[in-house]
Amino acid sequence: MKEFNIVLVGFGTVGRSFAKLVATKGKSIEDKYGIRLKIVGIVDSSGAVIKEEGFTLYELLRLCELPRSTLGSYTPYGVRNASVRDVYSKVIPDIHVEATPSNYENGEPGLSNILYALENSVNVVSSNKAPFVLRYRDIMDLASRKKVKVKFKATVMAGTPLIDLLMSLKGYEIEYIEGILNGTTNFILTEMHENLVTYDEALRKAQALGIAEANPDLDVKGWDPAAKLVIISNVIGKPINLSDVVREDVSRLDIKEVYKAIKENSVIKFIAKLNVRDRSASVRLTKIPRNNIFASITGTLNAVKIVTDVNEIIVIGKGAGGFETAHAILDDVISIAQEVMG
Amino acid sequence: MLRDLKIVKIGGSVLRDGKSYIHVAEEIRKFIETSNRTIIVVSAMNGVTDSLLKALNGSREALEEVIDRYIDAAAYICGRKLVERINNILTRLKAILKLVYKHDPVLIDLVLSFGEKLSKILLIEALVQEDVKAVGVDATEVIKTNNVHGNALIKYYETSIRLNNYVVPLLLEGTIPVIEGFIGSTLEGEVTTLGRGGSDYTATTIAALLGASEVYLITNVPGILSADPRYVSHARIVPEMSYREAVEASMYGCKNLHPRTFYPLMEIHKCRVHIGTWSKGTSILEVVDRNHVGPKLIAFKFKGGYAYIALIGDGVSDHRIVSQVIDLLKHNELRYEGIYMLANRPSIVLIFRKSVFAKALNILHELIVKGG
Repeated sequence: MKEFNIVLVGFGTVGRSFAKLVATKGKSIEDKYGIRLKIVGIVDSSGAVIKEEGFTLYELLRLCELPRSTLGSYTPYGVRNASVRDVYSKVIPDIHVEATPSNYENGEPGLSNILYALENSVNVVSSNKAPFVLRYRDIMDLASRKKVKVKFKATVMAGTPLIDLLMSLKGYEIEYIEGILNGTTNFILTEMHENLVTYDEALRKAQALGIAEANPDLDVKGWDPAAKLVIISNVIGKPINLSDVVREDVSRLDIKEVYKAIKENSVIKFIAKLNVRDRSASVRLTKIPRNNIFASITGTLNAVKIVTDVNEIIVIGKGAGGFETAHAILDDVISIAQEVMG
Repeated sequence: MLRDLKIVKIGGSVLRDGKSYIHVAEEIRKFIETSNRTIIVVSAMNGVTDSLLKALNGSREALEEVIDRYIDAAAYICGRKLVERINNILTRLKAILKLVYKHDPVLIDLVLSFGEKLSKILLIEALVQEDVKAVGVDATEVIKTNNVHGNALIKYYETSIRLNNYVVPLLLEGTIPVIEGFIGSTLEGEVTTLGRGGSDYTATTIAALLGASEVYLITNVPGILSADPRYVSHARIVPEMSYREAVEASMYGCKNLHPRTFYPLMEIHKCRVHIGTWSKGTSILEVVDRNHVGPKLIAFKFKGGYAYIALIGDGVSDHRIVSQVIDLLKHNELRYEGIYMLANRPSIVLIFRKSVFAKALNILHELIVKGG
């Protein structure tokens, strides 16, 4: 049995789901892989909880019951205002899990956290997209200099292993990749088509169901799918910048356009496309015929088509959700542990 | 693998205010002293689901009532931090109710699910106060159902996998999992509700899928009564019944019973069901002792000006009992309009005019008193 200490940074929906998962699936992972995962520190915006010998199952689940941003004041393990650095000064983990929200302005706090972990020769798993969108090369170079691993499959399509798949296509030449990469906008568009409601009404329902954020701009203005295209472009070695992605705005879609599409036996989808040959990328409201595969992708589902010089590969799966994202993180954590063990 | 697992469902009738959550937590603490492998299934606070339905129809008073009751209970149980937490969830509920104009079954189920979600949090905190190592499990992550909103059926296979992955490890660690009754989710992740008797159905499904030894359905009445006490003064608690009898009784409108409750047990794994208070109640088993065969209870419903009275018990459609019933009615000069029974069903149904219905109930009840 080999033990791996984990520091978890970010304790919102994804972070909590991950903590719960380690608590409940920890035993079966031990049995299956001979790996014992111990969460030794968790950081949120209020501070951190630290326990060098690792939190027990019961403690992890109790921590998940706390209100948001209150870890620092939790007795007996809370340290008010403690940062990632403070946690590392008590216990250096084997794996750093970054589950903070994506911030495309400057990548913080995720970017500094990840760079700090790598500087300390700690392996990194991230569900936060922004650092990889803004500083992919720097992160990868630092990791290889420090001889540690960085994994981030949770950043694109959550529980659906698109990144793994792309990394495995070594001898293929990818011509283009396109698809539905944002569940929130796909839900809104599905509502508009199926129930013939306006964008505003569809957004309200998405917010009520907890699918859309109170401020939905990252999704509806296309930042999120554009960021995913940037990560994909880096993974396949043909990097583009976020500012290069042409983005349309779903909130501008008039219901009359939807009526018109329906009359033409079509649907409007928010299609993200990365053209590898000319390195162009866009996220556009696209009218597609009803018999197109993407027309059948409804609700929060995601789908991607990879067109190569050999074949076409289509991947369909859930692209979001705390539970699904946490599983993707866990998979990356286990992979790193296995690679470290050889 | 899980020897001696018990499932305890806490009904809404015993969850009225903060004080009652503490009381229930004390009872659970006592209960687990002898059965440490226990899963708690919790209902919404008494009457909350109805209030939420009213709130969905636009009643602001109903919403205020739900808010006040949960906040008061939170304050009583644990103080400021719990109040804040409950308040955050209620804020989300208010936001949803503001956003919802249409009667969308998906959103109705989402709104109704708040009753159980809040109740679970309160009960866990009350248990922690009692030094019980209780942890929450989200029914929406574990109980998987079909897409019939408002009256969903649980998918056994999908639920079984999740119970084994996310609930069994908690039991093996010596913690007490607390899960919401009445709610689940579709494979796509939309919240669903299980309809009337939903929490009992959650409890017996978990029991069946994990091979539990007993299910306790805790309510504020001490068991299944032999007749409606509003009409029959000598009504008493039925000590033991079979699944078949319970299902039959539920079909004739017997309170506290719902046919769905017993299906998982009949289909997958049989175990004893206790319905009642912590100390008193009715035991419902696959088959009952031969000494307990015969009429056990009377249920009734009205239809088209007539009262359909069902005398329920394994073996009551036997000709000796049928002739006993007919003799008794003749002796009391009670005219019945019809009688029917099926050889394989544990009931005789008699049809009376409404005017003689109460008298008929009391006379037929004598058979039960004599028999037991």
